Amino acid sequence: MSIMELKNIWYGYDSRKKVLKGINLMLEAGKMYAILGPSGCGKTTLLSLMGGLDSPSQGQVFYEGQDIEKEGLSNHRKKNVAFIFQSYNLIDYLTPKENVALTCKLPPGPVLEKVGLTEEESKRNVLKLSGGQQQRVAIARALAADARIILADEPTGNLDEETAEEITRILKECAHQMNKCVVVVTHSNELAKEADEVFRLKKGVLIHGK
Amino acid sequence: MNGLKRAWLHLIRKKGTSLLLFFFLLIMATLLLICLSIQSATGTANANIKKALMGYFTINAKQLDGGIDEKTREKILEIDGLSGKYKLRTYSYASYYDAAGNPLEIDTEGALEIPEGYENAGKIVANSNSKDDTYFTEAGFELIEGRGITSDDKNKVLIHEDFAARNNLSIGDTIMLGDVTEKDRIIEATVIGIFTNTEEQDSLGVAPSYDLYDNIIFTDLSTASYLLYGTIGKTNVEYGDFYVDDPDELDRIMKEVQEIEDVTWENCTLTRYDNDYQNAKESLAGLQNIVFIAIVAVFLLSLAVLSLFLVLRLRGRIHETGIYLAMGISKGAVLLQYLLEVVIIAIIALVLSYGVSSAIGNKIGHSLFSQVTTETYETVELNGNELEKTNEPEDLGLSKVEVSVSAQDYQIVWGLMMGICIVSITLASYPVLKMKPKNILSQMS
Repeated sequence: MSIMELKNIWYGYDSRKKVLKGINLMLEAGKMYAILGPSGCGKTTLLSLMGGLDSPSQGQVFYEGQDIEKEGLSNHRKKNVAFIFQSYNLIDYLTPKENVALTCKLPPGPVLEKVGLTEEESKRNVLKLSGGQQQRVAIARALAADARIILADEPTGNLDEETAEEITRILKECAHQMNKCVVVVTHSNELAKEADEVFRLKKGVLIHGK
Repeated sequence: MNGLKRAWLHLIRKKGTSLLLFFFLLIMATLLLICLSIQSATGTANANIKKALMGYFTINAKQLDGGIDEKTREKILEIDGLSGKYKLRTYSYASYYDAAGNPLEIDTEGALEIPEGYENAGKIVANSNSKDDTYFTEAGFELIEGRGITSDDKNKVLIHEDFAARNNLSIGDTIMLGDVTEKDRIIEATVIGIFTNTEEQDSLGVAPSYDLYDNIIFTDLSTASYLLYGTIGKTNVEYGDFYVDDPDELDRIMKEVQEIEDVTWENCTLTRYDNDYQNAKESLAGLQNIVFIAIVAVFLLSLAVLSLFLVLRLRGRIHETGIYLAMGISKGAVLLQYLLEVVIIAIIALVLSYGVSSAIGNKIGHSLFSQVTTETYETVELNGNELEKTNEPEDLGLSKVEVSVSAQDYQIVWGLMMGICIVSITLASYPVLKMKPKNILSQMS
């Protein structure tokens, strides 16, 4: 049973140049998906459309059979999806606990502990944490939102190999143990290898790769 | 986490910008409050000026047969708007005799001429109160013995010290005043005071004998009425100054006076005297205009500067806005958070501005009002209406005006400040919030 379905999605910045050309995709809970492709091919745009950050020029995005446009994009972002960004996008004047509490449907403490942050680290200003620790906070924030879909845009892009592996492991756990649908947009073949399904976006068309 | 908590955390963690915003809002609120307080105080100042510089009108009935009688005066005083204060005057000439009917000797040295029939005559000046007469208030006359004449006196006179010496008269002596033309109109009067002149007469050598200072006799209105009009038991007068509560009402009151029946008003001249008040009012209106312009300027400047400050501040928070929107926090909730941040600081600034305004508003107000007082004082002098010695600038009552922060002014400032905050934050947020979340996030990356 798919949790999200993309039907004939077209998107362009102007009427002539389309970056997404009739994308069809079905996503299921409990799986980690990876979308690979060169820079500027439209991976992040596709993720934005799934997350309701933007609307397609043509086509529809369904969440559990409901058109997200009809439900309201803001509502969709609030209830159904959670984002993890390459640049972490944490609120710089808040502590990890407070950042997680922004979307909190679950208590921030245990979630932060789950992603490997200590109690002391949870009370520091986020800017005083390492890149890996900040990405853990971003993941914790996504988990605390208790959304069924986690959309991660280059989540390991700024991290060293060891930390990237750790983040990949956490994302996999989110999918397999917490029954989330995790969609990862990445350049990293290492990360893509860990995904249950891989898609390649080429010239606006999505090709199933695994 | 709700918007209020986010707003509070932002304020306490971003202390620099919060303090900057606080000081700006404090200055803005204080300026607005001071301006409004001064504006309100000008109302009190205006009332004080009305009291201090009472307007009045004068009826000159020199050409009116029988002058202004008591009945007419009563009717005038019944008109709405009159303060009840009035001054009456009569001028005449009389021949002077001792109690035995012998002519008294007048001063002739320095006189241009001694007109026929005026060999022992002089000017008679009658006033409700002799101390209010212009000879005493402006020409340097001073009472050196006895007392002045009041409105209750009858058959009383004040004589010059040289006239007294020349005729061997002293307080308590009786003299006779006789009309110059109607020889049988003679009245007896008692000397109750002796005066002198501290300034030399300007018209020496050009004035006739009866106008020389030494030959002037001050008497009561009743005596003067008998001499001039031949009245017995009645007091008719030549001139009347009637004071009003509100100088702005002078035109209406003077019109009503001229509607009083049984008086040939064509033979009377009515003159308004409210220059001092009008000058003061003009100066006060100038202050009011300046304060009004200051209020508008402070308001517009505050709006512009606050909007600019917030635009720059929110531009630096596009990243944060994008994150909130990506997390599904609505644009309205984000706007509310930004508004709450400004409102929380504005509330603290407004509370403190009360104390600051109260502390410095009164000083600024006094400084401005004393400037108005000085301007008015100088204008009055330039107009030739020399003020009495006691009529120092403080007597205009402006020094007593308290520039205090009233509850009404405070409420207005609260309203204005909240309005400025809401408009500024909406203007500053609009360009960011109208963007799609994806565009904001693109800008972020």
